Amino acid sequence: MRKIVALVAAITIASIPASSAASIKGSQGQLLTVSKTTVKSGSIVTVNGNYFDETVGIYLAFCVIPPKGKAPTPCGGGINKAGLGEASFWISSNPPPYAAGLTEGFLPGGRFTQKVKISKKIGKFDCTKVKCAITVRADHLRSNDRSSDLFIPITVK
Amino acid sequence: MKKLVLVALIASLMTPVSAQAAETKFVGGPLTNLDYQGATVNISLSNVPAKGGLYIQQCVEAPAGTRSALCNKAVELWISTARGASFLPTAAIVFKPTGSFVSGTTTVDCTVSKCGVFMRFDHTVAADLSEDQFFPLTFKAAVAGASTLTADEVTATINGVPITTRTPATLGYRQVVTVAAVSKAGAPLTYRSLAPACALSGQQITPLAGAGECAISVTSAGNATTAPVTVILPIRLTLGVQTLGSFALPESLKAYSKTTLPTATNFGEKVTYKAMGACSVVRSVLTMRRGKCEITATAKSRKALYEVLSTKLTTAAK
Repeated sequence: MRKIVALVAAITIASIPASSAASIKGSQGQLLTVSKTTVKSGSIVTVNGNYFDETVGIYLAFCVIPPKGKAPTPCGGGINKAGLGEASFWISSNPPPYAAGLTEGFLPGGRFTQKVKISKKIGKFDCTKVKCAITVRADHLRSNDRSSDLFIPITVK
Repeated sequence: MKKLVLVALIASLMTPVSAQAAETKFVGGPLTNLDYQGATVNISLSNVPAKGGLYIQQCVEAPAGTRSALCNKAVELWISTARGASFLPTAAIVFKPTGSFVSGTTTVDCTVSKCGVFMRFDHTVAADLSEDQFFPLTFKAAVAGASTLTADEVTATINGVPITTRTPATLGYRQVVTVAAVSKAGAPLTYRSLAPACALSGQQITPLAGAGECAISVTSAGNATTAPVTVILPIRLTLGVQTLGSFALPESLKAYSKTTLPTATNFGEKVTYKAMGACSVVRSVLTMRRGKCEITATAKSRKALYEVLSTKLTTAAK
Protein backbone atom coordinates (compact mmCIF):
# COMPACT_ATOMS: atom_id res chain seq x y z
CA MET A 1 0.00 0.00 0.00
CA ARG A 2 2.86 2.40 0.89
CA LYS A 3 4.46 1.64 -2.48
CA ILE A 4 1.24 2.51 -4.30
CA VAL A 5 0.88 5.81 -2.37
CA ALA A 6 4.51 6.74 -3.12
CA LEU A 7 4.03 5.90 -6.81
CA VAL A 8 0.87 8.02 -7.07
CA ALA A 9 2.64 10.95 -5.35
CA ALA A 10 5.62 10.72 -7.70
CA ILE A 11 3.36 10.74 -10.76
CA THR A 12 1.41 13.73 -9.40
CA ILE A 13 4.57 15.81 -8.76
CA ALA A 14 6.01 14.96 -12.18
CA SER A 15 2.83 16.12 -13.88
CA ILE A 16 2.80 19.54 -12.12
CA PRO A 17 4.25 22.18 -14.43
CA ALA A 18 7.60 23.50 -13.18
CA SER A 19 6.45 26.30 -10.82
CA SER A 20 3.77 27.15 -13.40
CA ALA A 21 5.19 28.57 -16.59
CA ALA A 22 3.13 31.37 -18.07
CA SER A 23 2.55 33.03 -21.42
CA ILE A 24 0.97 36.23 -22.61
CA LYS A 25 -0.03 37.27 -26.11
CA GLY A 26 0.39 40.88 -27.20
CA SER A 27 -1.93 42.95 -29.35
CA GLN A 28 0.19 42.35 -32.45
CA GLY A 29 0.30 38.57 -31.92
CA GLN A 30 3.65 38.55 -30.16
CA LEU A 31 4.05 35.80 -27.56
CA LEU A 32 6.02 36.09 -24.32
CA THR A 33 6.66 33.01 -22.16
CA VAL A 34 8.33 32.70 -18.76
CA SER A 35 9.56 29.34 -17.43
CA LYS A 36 8.46 29.99 -13.80
CA THR A 37 6.24 32.54 -12.13
CA THR A 38 6.99 31.72 -8.48
CA VAL A 39 10.68 31.88 -7.66
CA LYS A 40 13.19 32.57 -4.92
CA SER A 41 15.14 35.83 -4.99
CA GLY A 42 18.31 35.34 -7.01
CA SER A 43 16.75 32.69 -9.25
CA ILE A 44 17.05 32.73 -13.01
CA VAL A 45 13.99 32.36 -15.24
CA THR A 46 14.04 31.60 -18.94
CA VAL A 47 12.09 34.05 -21.06
CA ASN A 48 11.11 33.23 -24.63
CA GLY A 49 9.66 35.60 -27.20
CA ASN A 50 8.08 34.75 -30.52
CA TYR A 51 6.39 36.67 -33.34
CA PHE A 52 7.74 40.04 -32.13
CA ASP A 53 7.91 42.92 -34.63
CA GLU A 54 11.59 42.91 -35.57
CA THR A 55 11.47 46.53 -36.68
CA VAL A 56 10.86 47.66 -33.09
CA GLY A 57 13.66 47.27 -30.53
CA ILE A 58 12.60 46.18 -27.04
CA TYR A 59 13.83 46.06 -23.46
CA LEU A 60 13.28 42.84 -21.56
CA ALA A 61 13.60 43.27 -17.79
CA PHE A 62 12.24 42.45 -14.34
CA CYS A 63 10.30 45.54 -13.32
CA VAL A 64 7.81 46.91 -10.83
CA ILE A 65 4.39 46.84 -12.52
CA PRO A 66 3.44 50.48 -13.19
CA PRO A 67 -0.05 52.02 -13.11
CA LYS A 68 -1.98 51.17 -16.30
CA GLY A 69 -0.76 53.19 -19.29
CA LYS A 70 2.49 54.27 -17.62
CA ALA A 71 5.98 53.21 -18.64
CA PRO A 72 7.36 50.28 -16.61
CA THR A 73 9.80 51.59 -14.05
CA PRO A 74 11.89 50.98 -12.06
CA CYS A 75 13.44 47.85 -13.49
CA GLY A 76 16.22 45.59 -12.31
CA GLY A 77 19.33 46.91 -13.98
CA GLY A 78 17.50 50.07 -15.08
CA ILE A 79 17.04 50.81 -18.79
CA ASN A 80 19.98 48.94 -20.14
CA LYS A 81 21.38 51.17 -22.88
CA ALA A 82 24.69 49.46 -22.17
CA GLY A 83 23.30 46.31 -23.72
CA LEU A 84 23.01 42.89 -22.11
CA GLY A 85 22.97 42.16 -18.38
CA GLU A 86 21.50 39.65 -15.97
CA ALA A 87 18.42 41.69 -15.13
CA SER A 88 17.69 43.59 -18.33
CA PHE A 89 18.32 43.09 -22.01
CA TRP A 90 18.15 45.32 -25.08
CA ILE A 91 16.94 43.30 -28.03
CA SER A 92 17.08 45.03 -31.40
CA SER A 93 17.82 43.92 -34.94
CA ASN A 94 18.33 47.49 -36.10
CA PRO A 95 20.06 49.43 -33.30
CA PRO A 96 21.43 52.93 -33.74
CA PRO A 97 25.10 53.05 -34.78
CA TYR A 98 26.31 53.80 -31.23
CA ALA A 99 24.69 50.60 -29.97
CA ALA A 100 26.25 48.22 -32.47
CA GLY A 101 27.50 45.26 -30.49
CA LEU A 102 25.51 46.22 -27.39
CA THR A 103 22.25 44.67 -28.45
CA GLU A 104 21.18 41.20 -29.34
CA GLY A 105 19.13 40.88 -32.51
CA PHE A 106 15.87 39.00 -32.87
CA LEU A 107 16.10 35.56 -34.38
CA PRO A 108 14.13 35.14 -37.63
CA GLY A 109 10.42 35.11 -36.92
CA GLY A 110 10.78 37.68 -34.15
CA ARG A 111 12.14 35.19 -31.61
CA PHE A 112 14.47 35.53 -28.63
CA THR A 113 15.48 33.55 -25.54
CA GLN A 114 17.06 35.14 -22.46
CA LYS A 115 17.74 34.14 -18.88
CA VAL A 116 16.63 36.87 -16.49
CA LYS A 117 17.72 37.11 -12.85
CA ILE A 118 14.89 37.74 -10.38
CA SER A 119 15.74 39.82 -7.34
CA LYS A 120 13.59 40.53 -4.31
CA LYS A 121 14.46 44.22 -4.44
CA ILE A 122 14.32 46.62 -7.38
CA GLY A 123 15.83 49.81 -6.03
CA LYS A 124 13.84 50.67 -2.93
CA PHE A 125 10.89 48.48 -3.97
CA ASP A 126 10.38 45.07 -2.38
CA CYS A 127 8.82 42.61 -4.83
CA THR A 128 7.38 40.56 -1.95
CA LYS A 129 5.24 43.63 -1.15
CA VAL A 130 4.64 45.27 -4.54
CA LYS A 131 3.75 43.60 -7.82
CA CYS A 132 6.72 42.90 -10.09
CA ALA A 133 6.81 41.29 -13.51
CA ILE A 134 8.90 40.10 -16.38
CA THR A 135 8.38 43.05 -18.67
CA VAL A 136 8.79 43.90 -22.33
CA ARG A 137 8.61 47.47 -23.59
CA ALA A 138 9.69 49.34 -26.72
CA ASP A 139 13.24 50.62 -26.37
CA HIS A 140 14.18 54.26 -25.66
CA LEU A 141 13.94 55.08 -29.37
CA ARG A 142 10.15 54.73 -28.91
CA SER A 143 9.96 55.45 -25.21
CA ASN A 144 6.38 56.74 -25.36
CA ASP A 145 5.12 53.71 -27.29
CA ARG A 146 3.04 51.74 -24.80
CA SER A 147 1.64 49.35 -27.44
CA SER A 148 4.59 46.98 -26.99
CA ASP A 149 4.28 46.69 -23.20
CA LEU A 150 3.79 43.15 -21.86
CA PHE A 151 3.83 41.95 -18.25
CA ILE A 152 3.98 38.48 -16.70
CA PRO A 153 3.70 38.88 -12.90
CA ILE A 154 6.31 37.02 -10.84
CA THR A 155 5.87 36.01 -7.20
CA VAL A 156 9.13 36.30 -5.29
CA LYS A 157 9.42 34.03 -2.26
CA MET B 1 -15.63 75.15 -75.56
CA LYS B 2 -12.12 74.58 -76.89
CA LYS B 3 -10.76 76.75 -74.06
CA LEU B 4 -12.67 74.73 -71.48
CA VAL B 5 -11.27 71.45 -72.80
CA LEU B 6 -7.75 72.91 -72.79
CA VAL B 7 -8.08 74.12 -69.18
CA ALA B 8 -9.41 70.73 -68.11
CA LEU B 9 -6.53 69.01 -69.93
CA ILE B 10 -3.92 71.26 -68.29
CA ALA B 11 -5.53 70.73 -64.88
CA SER B 12 -5.47 66.98 -65.36
CA LEU B 13 -1.82 67.06 -66.37
CA MET B 14 -0.97 69.20 -63.37
CA THR B 15 -2.76 66.93 -60.91
CA PRO B 16 -0.73 63.91 -59.87
CA VAL B 17 -2.23 60.78 -58.36
CA SER B 18 -2.92 61.49 -54.72
CA ALA B 19 -3.26 59.29 -51.66
CA GLN B 20 -6.67 57.64 -51.55
CA ALA B 21 -7.44 58.54 -47.94
CA ALA B 22 -6.40 62.20 -48.09
CA GLU B 23 -9.18 64.78 -48.29
CA THR B 24 -7.10 67.70 -49.52
CA LYS B 25 -7.14 68.10 -53.28
CA PHE B 26 -3.81 69.32 -54.62
CA VAL B 27 -3.43 71.08 -57.95
CA GLY B 28 0.06 72.26 -58.70
CA GLY B 29 2.61 72.74 -61.41
CA PRO B 30 4.99 72.59 -63.02
CA LEU B 31 6.28 69.43 -61.34
CA THR B 32 8.73 68.20 -63.96
CA ASN B 33 11.93 69.49 -65.54
CA LEU B 34 12.26 72.24 -62.94
CA ASP B 35 15.20 74.61 -62.87
CA TYR B 36 17.90 73.39 -60.48
CA GLN B 37 17.84 76.80 -58.82
CA GLY B 38 15.03 79.36 -58.80
CA ALA B 39 12.16 76.97 -59.57
CA THR B 40 8.60 77.91 -58.65
CA VAL B 41 5.64 75.56 -58.24
CA ASN B 42 2.21 77.19 -58.07
CA ILE B 43 -0.20 75.30 -55.85
CA SER B 44 -3.87 75.60 -55.05
CA LEU B 45 -5.62 73.48 -52.47
CA SER B 46 -9.24 72.59 -51.91
CA ASN B 47 -11.18 70.38 -49.47
CA VAL B 48 -8.61 71.16 -46.75
CA PRO B 49 -9.84 69.51 -43.51
CA ALA B 50 -10.68 71.89 -40.68
CA LYS B 51 -9.04 69.76 -37.98
CA GLY B 52 -5.54 71.13 -38.61
CA GLY B 53 -3.19 73.04 -40.85
CA LEU B 54 -0.83 71.53 -43.41
CA TYR B 55 2.88 71.56 -44.12
CA ILE B 56 4.09 71.59 -47.69
CA GLN B 57 7.64 70.29 -47.83
CA GLN B 58 10.27 69.17 -50.30
CA CYS B 59 11.40 65.67 -49.27
CA VAL B 60 12.99 62.52 -50.56
CA GLU B 61 10.27 59.91 -51.04
CA ALA B 62 9.86 57.77 -47.94
CA PRO B 63 8.64 54.18 -47.77
CA ALA B 64 4.86 53.91 -47.77
CA GLY B 65 3.30 54.75 -44.41
CA THR B 66 6.38 56.57 -43.15
CA ARG B 67 7.57 60.16 -43.27
CA SER B 68 10.84 61.09 -44.85
CA ALA B 69 13.80 62.00 -42.66
CA LEU B 70 15.31 63.96 -45.55
CA CYS B 71 13.45 67.23 -46.16
CA ASN B 72 14.40 70.72 -47.28
CA LYS B 73 13.65 72.88 -44.22
CA ALA B 74 14.54 76.05 -46.10
CA VAL B 75 11.52 75.86 -48.42
CA GLU B 76 8.91 74.42 -46.02
CA LEU B 77 5.52 76.17 -46.01
CA TRP B 78 2.91 76.20 -43.27
CA ILE B 79 -0.62 76.36 -44.65
CA SER B 80 -3.06 77.41 -41.98
CA THR B 81 -5.52 80.03 -40.84
CA ALA B 82 -3.39 80.44 -37.70
CA ARG B 83 -1.25 83.53 -37.16
CA GLY B 84 2.27 83.16 -38.60
CA ALA B 85 1.31 80.70 -41.34
CA SER B 86 2.99 81.05 -44.74
CA PHE B 87 -0.29 80.93 -46.68
CA LEU B 88 -4.00 80.57 -46.05
CA PRO B 89 -5.42 77.27 -47.37
CA THR B 90 -7.44 79.24 -49.92
CA ALA B 91 -4.49 81.30 -51.18
CA ALA B 92 -2.49 80.89 -54.38
CA ILE B 93 0.49 79.13 -52.85
CA VAL B 94 3.99 79.69 -54.20
CA PHE B 95 6.45 76.88 -53.44
CA LYS B 96 10.15 77.11 -54.29
CA PRO B 97 11.90 73.71 -54.29
CA THR B 98 15.59 73.44 -55.12
CA GLY B 99 17.59 70.91 -57.09
CA SER B 100 19.70 70.05 -54.08
CA PHE B 101 19.46 70.64 -50.36
CA VAL B 102 21.09 69.71 -47.09
CA SER B 103 19.14 67.77 -44.45
CA GLY B 104 21.14 67.36 -41.26
CA THR B 105 24.51 66.14 -42.47
CA THR B 106 23.09 64.68 -45.68
CA THR B 107 23.29 66.49 -49.01
CA VAL B 108 20.47 65.46 -51.31
CA ASP B 109 20.71 65.90 -55.07
CA CYS B 110 17.19 65.72 -56.53
CA THR B 111 18.52 64.92 -60.00
CA VAL B 112 19.77 61.67 -58.46
CA SER B 113 17.31 60.96 -55.62
CA LYS B 114 13.53 60.84 -55.95
CA CYS B 115 12.35 64.13 -54.44
CA GLY B 116 8.87 65.56 -54.36
CA VAL B 117 6.32 67.82 -52.73
CA PHE B 118 5.27 66.20 -49.47
CA MET B 119 2.06 67.47 -47.92
CA ARG B 120 0.99 66.50 -44.39
CA PHE B 121 -0.98 67.71 -41.39
CA ASP B 122 0.89 70.31 -39.32
CA HIS B 123 2.10 70.09 -35.69
CA THR B 124 -1.42 70.53 -34.33
CA VAL B 125 -2.30 67.02 -35.58
CA ALA B 126 1.23 65.66 -35.87
CA ALA B 127 0.41 61.97 -35.47
CA ASP B 128 -2.34 61.96 -38.10
CA LEU B 129 -0.93 60.60 -41.37
CA SER B 130 -4.23 60.70 -43.26
CA GLU B 131 -3.31 63.83 -45.23
CA ASP B 132 0.18 62.58 -46.18
CA GLN B 133 0.58 62.93 -49.93
CA PHE B 134 3.67 62.84 -52.14
CA PHE B 135 3.93 64.40 -55.60
CA PRO B 136 7.20 63.64 -57.44
CA LEU B 137 9.34 66.47 -58.76
CA THR B 138 12.06 66.27 -61.39
CA PHE B 139 14.81 68.83 -62.01
CA LYS B 140 17.08 69.81 -64.87
CA ALA B 141 20.78 69.26 -64.27
CA ALA B 142 22.59 72.07 -62.47
CA VAL B 143 23.73 74.86 -64.76
CA ALA B 144 27.51 74.93 -65.14
CA GLY B 145 28.94 77.78 -63.14
CA ALA B 146 26.03 77.80 -60.71
CA SER B 147 28.18 75.78 -58.40
CA THR B 148 31.95 75.73 -58.21
CA LEU B 149 31.89 71.93 -57.95
CA THR B 150 29.87 69.34 -59.82
CA ALA B 151 28.28 66.62 -57.75
CA ASP B 152 29.99 63.27 -57.43
CA GLU B 153 28.42 60.31 -59.21
CA VAL B 154 27.65 57.22 -57.17
CA THR B 155 26.72 53.85 -58.69
CA ALA B 156 25.56 50.95 -56.57
CA THR B 157 24.93 47.22 -56.69
CA ILE B 158 23.13 44.73 -54.46
CA ASN B 159 24.86 41.35 -54.49
CA GLY B 160 26.67 42.49 -57.62
CA VAL B 161 23.50 43.46 -59.53
CA PRO B 162 23.32 47.16 -60.50
CA ILE B 163 20.44 49.08 -58.91
CA THR B 164 19.06 52.52 -59.61
CA THR B 165 17.64 55.30 -57.51
CA ARG B 166 14.40 55.22 -59.52
CA THR B 167 13.54 51.52 -59.61
CA PRO B 168 13.24 49.63 -56.32
CA ALA B 169 15.23 46.47 -55.79
CA THR B 170 13.15 43.56 -54.46
CA LEU B 171 14.23 41.62 -51.39
CA GLY B 172 12.48 38.93 -49.35
CA TYR B 173 12.14 38.89 -45.58
CA ARG B 174 15.52 37.97 -44.02
CA GLN B 175 17.19 37.75 -47.44
CA VAL B 176 20.59 39.03 -46.41
CA VAL B 177 22.40 40.91 -49.19
CA THR B 178 25.38 43.20 -49.58
CA VAL B 179 25.14 46.70 -50.99
CA ALA B 180 28.26 48.10 -52.63
CA ALA B 181 28.69 51.53 -54.16
CA VAL B 182 31.43 53.27 -56.09
CA SER B 183 32.19 56.98 -56.12
CA LYS B 184 33.31 58.19 -59.54
CA ALA B 185 35.56 60.70 -57.80
CA GLY B 186 36.99 58.07 -55.46
CA ALA B 187 35.48 59.89 -52.47
CA PRO B 188 34.70 58.04 -49.23
CA LEU B 189 31.17 56.64 -48.96
CA THR B 190 28.89 56.13 -45.97
CA TYR B 191 25.81 53.92 -45.89
CA ARG B 192 22.63 54.41 -43.84
CA SER B 193 19.27 52.67 -43.57
CA LEU B 194 16.40 55.15 -43.82
CA ALA B 195 13.68 52.80 -42.53
CA PRO B 196 13.54 50.31 -39.65
CA ALA B 197 12.31 47.55 -41.96
CA CYS B 198 15.87 47.14 -43.24
CA ALA B 199 18.72 46.60 -40.81
CA LEU B 200 22.12 47.69 -42.08
CA SER B 201 25.31 46.32 -40.57
CA GLY B 202 28.27 47.73 -42.44
CA GLN B 203 27.12 47.10 -46.00
CA GLN B 204 24.99 44.07 -45.18
CA ILE B 205 21.23 44.58 -45.49
CA THR B 206 18.79 42.36 -43.57
CA PRO B 207 15.12 42.93 -44.38
CA LEU B 208 13.06 42.66 -41.18
CA ALA B 209 9.66 42.75 -42.87
CA GLY B 210 8.05 40.91 -45.76
CA ALA B 211 5.93 43.77 -47.08
CA GLY B 212 6.32 47.49 -47.70
CA GLU B 213 9.48 49.33 -48.57
CA CYS B 214 12.74 50.51 -47.10
CA ALA B 215 15.64 52.53 -48.46
CA ILE B 216 19.39 52.75 -48.10
CA SER B 217 21.22 56.05 -48.56
CA VAL B 218 24.76 56.19 -49.84
CA THR B 219 26.57 59.46 -49.25
CA SER B 220 29.73 60.53 -51.02
CA ALA B 221 31.68 63.00 -48.92
CA GLY B 222 32.99 64.61 -52.09
CA ASN B 223 36.54 65.85 -52.45
CA ALA B 224 38.50 68.79 -53.83
CA THR B 225 37.02 68.35 -57.28
CA THR B 226 33.50 67.11 -56.64
CA ALA B 227 30.63 68.11 -54.36
CA PRO B 228 29.08 65.72 -51.81
CA VAL B 229 26.01 63.81 -52.92
CA THR B 230 23.55 61.33 -51.43
CA VAL B 231 21.77 58.71 -53.47
CA ILE B 232 18.72 56.91 -52.10
CA LEU B 233 18.32 53.26 -53.07
CA PRO B 234 14.69 52.15 -52.71
CA ILE B 235 13.95 48.52 -51.76
CA ARG B 236 10.61 46.76 -52.07
CA LEU B 237 10.06 44.02 -49.50
CA THR B 238 8.34 40.72 -50.26
CA LEU B 239 7.45 37.60 -48.27
CA GLY B 240 10.36 35.42 -47.18
CA VAL B 241 10.81 31.83 -48.29
CA GLN B 242 10.49 29.24 -45.54
CA THR B 243 12.84 26.27 -45.78
CA LEU B 244 14.08 23.42 -43.65
CA GLY B 245 17.38 25.28 -43.36
CA SER B 246 20.44 23.31 -44.36
CA PHE B 247 18.71 19.94 -43.86
CA ALA B 248 18.83 17.55 -46.85
CA LEU B 249 17.29 14.10 -46.74
CA PRO B 250 19.68 11.49 -48.26
CA GLU B 251 18.43 9.77 -51.43
CA SER B 252 18.82 6.40 -49.75
CA LEU B 253 18.70 5.25 -46.16
CA LYS B 254 19.15 1.93 -44.43
CA ALA B 255 15.98 -0.03 -43.84
CA TYR B 256 14.68 0.33 -40.27
CA SER B 257 17.05 3.28 -39.64
CA LYS B 258 15.86 6.41 -37.85
CA THR B 259 16.55 9.96 -39.03
CA THR B 260 15.74 13.11 -37.07
CA LEU B 261 14.00 15.73 -39.20
CA PRO B 262 14.02 19.48 -38.42
CA THR B 263 11.33 20.48 -35.94
CA ALA B 264 11.29 24.12 -37.08
CA THR B 265 11.80 26.10 -40.30
CA ASN B 266 14.51 28.68 -40.90
CA PHE B 267 12.07 31.24 -39.41
CA GLY B 268 11.29 29.14 -36.32
CA GLU B 269 7.85 27.95 -37.43
CA LYS B 270 6.87 24.43 -36.30
CA VAL B 271 7.10 21.82 -39.07
CA THR B 272 4.46 19.12 -39.50
CA TYR B 273 5.27 15.94 -41.46
CA LYS B 274 3.04 13.52 -43.32
CA ALA B 275 4.65 10.28 -44.52
CA MET B 276 3.54 8.09 -47.41
CA GLY B 277 5.02 4.78 -48.56
CA ALA B 278 7.62 2.71 -46.74
CA CYS B 279 8.16 5.05 -43.82
CA SER B 280 6.58 6.77 -40.86
CA VAL B 281 7.29 10.04 -39.03
CA VAL B 282 6.56 10.33 -35.33
CA ARG B 283 7.62 13.47 -33.45
CA SER B 284 9.90 14.50 -36.33
CA VAL B 285 11.73 11.15 -36.33
CA LEU B 286 11.62 9.30 -39.64
CA THR B 287 11.63 5.49 -39.49
CA MET B 288 12.27 3.69 -42.77
CA ARG B 289 11.04 0.34 -44.01
CA ARG B 290 12.10 -1.25 -47.30
CA GLY B 291 10.84 0.72 -50.31
CA LYS B 292 10.17 4.28 -51.41
CA CYS B 293 9.17 6.99 -48.97
CA GLU B 294 7.60 10.39 -49.61
CA ILE B 295 7.25 12.96 -46.86
CA THR B 296 5.35 16.25 -47.05
CA ALA B 297 6.68 18.96 -44.75
CA THR B 298 4.39 21.89 -44.00
CA ALA B 299 4.59 24.99 -41.81
CA LYS B 300 2.31 27.98 -41.33
CA SER B 301 2.82 31.31 -43.07
CA ARG B 302 3.06 34.60 -41.21
CA LYS B 303 1.29 37.66 -42.54
CA ALA B 304 3.65 40.26 -44.00
CA LEU B 305 6.69 38.12 -43.13
CA TYR B 306 6.93 34.76 -44.86
CA GLU B 307 5.09 32.29 -47.07
CA VAL B 308 3.74 28.89 -46.08
CA LEU B 309 6.17 25.95 -46.28
CA SER B 310 4.97 23.00 -48.33
CA THR B 311 7.73 20.80 -49.62
CA LYS B 312 8.13 17.14 -50.54
CA LEU B 313 11.08 15.02 -49.46
CA THR B 314 11.75 11.63 -51.01
CA THR B 315 14.06 8.79 -50.10
CA ALA B 316 14.22 5.01 -50.34
CA ALA B 317 15.59 2.03 -48.44
CA LYS B 318 16.63 -1.40 -49.71
